[in-house]
Amino acid sequence: MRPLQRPVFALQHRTENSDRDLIAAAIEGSESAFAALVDRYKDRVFRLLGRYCRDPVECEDLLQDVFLKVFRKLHTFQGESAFYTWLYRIAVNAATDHLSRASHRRLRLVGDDDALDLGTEPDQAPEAPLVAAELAAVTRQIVDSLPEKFRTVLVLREFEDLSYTEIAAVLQIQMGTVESRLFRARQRFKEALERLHPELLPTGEPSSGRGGSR
Amino acid sequence: MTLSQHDLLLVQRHVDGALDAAADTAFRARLAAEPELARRAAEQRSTSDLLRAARGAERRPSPGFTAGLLAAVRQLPTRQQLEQADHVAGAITWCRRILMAAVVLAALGLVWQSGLVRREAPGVMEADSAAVQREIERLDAEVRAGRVPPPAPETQTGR
Repeated sequence: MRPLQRPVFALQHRTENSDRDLIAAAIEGSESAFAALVDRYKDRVFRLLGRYCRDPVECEDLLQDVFLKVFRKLHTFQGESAFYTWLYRIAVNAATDHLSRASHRRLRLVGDDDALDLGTEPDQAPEAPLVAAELAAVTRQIVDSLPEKFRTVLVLREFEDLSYTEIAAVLQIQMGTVESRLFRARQRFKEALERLHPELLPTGEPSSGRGGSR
Repeated sequence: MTLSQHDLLLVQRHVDGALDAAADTAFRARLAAEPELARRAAEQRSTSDLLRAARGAERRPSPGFTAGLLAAVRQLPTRQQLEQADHVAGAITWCRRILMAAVVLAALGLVWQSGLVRREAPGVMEADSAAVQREIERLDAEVRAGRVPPPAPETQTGR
């Protein structure tokens, strides 16, 4: 086994060194080390897979496939990127393969309304949760309708909060490609929103939201 | 005012927090001075917020997931067996390639031997210069005797 190298980019998790130890131990045959890796990442991978399949049981089967593949391929992990991005790459590939296999069933991004966060803020009007739920449903429907490469980059950026560098590492594409895909994806999202629900279109009024904070 | 593609990408990088500190400070100064740029940034931020609002609640795999996974892992072949299988598969792949190359070469040889491929014509034989000279003299003699009409003079086509 080649020695694990230092990650080439800035995704520095607090658990980086522990990951390397666990990976080395798992490769040597330690079941508990592999179990620790699984426990560390299963929730995040499950959340990602949940963007591609709506049935939780189906998602969990997919999650198991992902980690079985990780187990089989762990010795090929070279440590050139963070383990997390390597794992995400396997998960994204599994999810897109799953989508293409199941495309005839017109799978959507997860659409179970009970999975929505419908909690109300104390100062919100009673009808606010319904509006939020409707907004979320429309948004997911539109994201679902995007071509896979645009959908994936949007999911990784907006839902999973990955940086451009991390997205580039997961999808194994250039940073410039990440930016252009993201730009086109948002453009298509806005066009679809304008066509289907023009009343929901962002107005461009200045807000005190995010920006330049990462 | 229409923004350039470069400016639109700058807006995206700013909203995504992908600009370094110096570039972001410079861009914020531009935002304060350019209303169209500020409008686009606000629009992009709203779109981003809309998408993020659709994330949904956190879901987790069932509590017994890891145990079930480990049970499935125990059913898998050991790493040594997998590596051996990889080596065998690699060797089979190379054998197949070599076999296919041999078959292709053998097929080409058979086609060549069967004469299906038009072989190159043998080299042009050199004429005996004395025989050529004798033929020229014979033709001249026939012309002089009037048995063969002399060749017509070449006409000018003007092209």
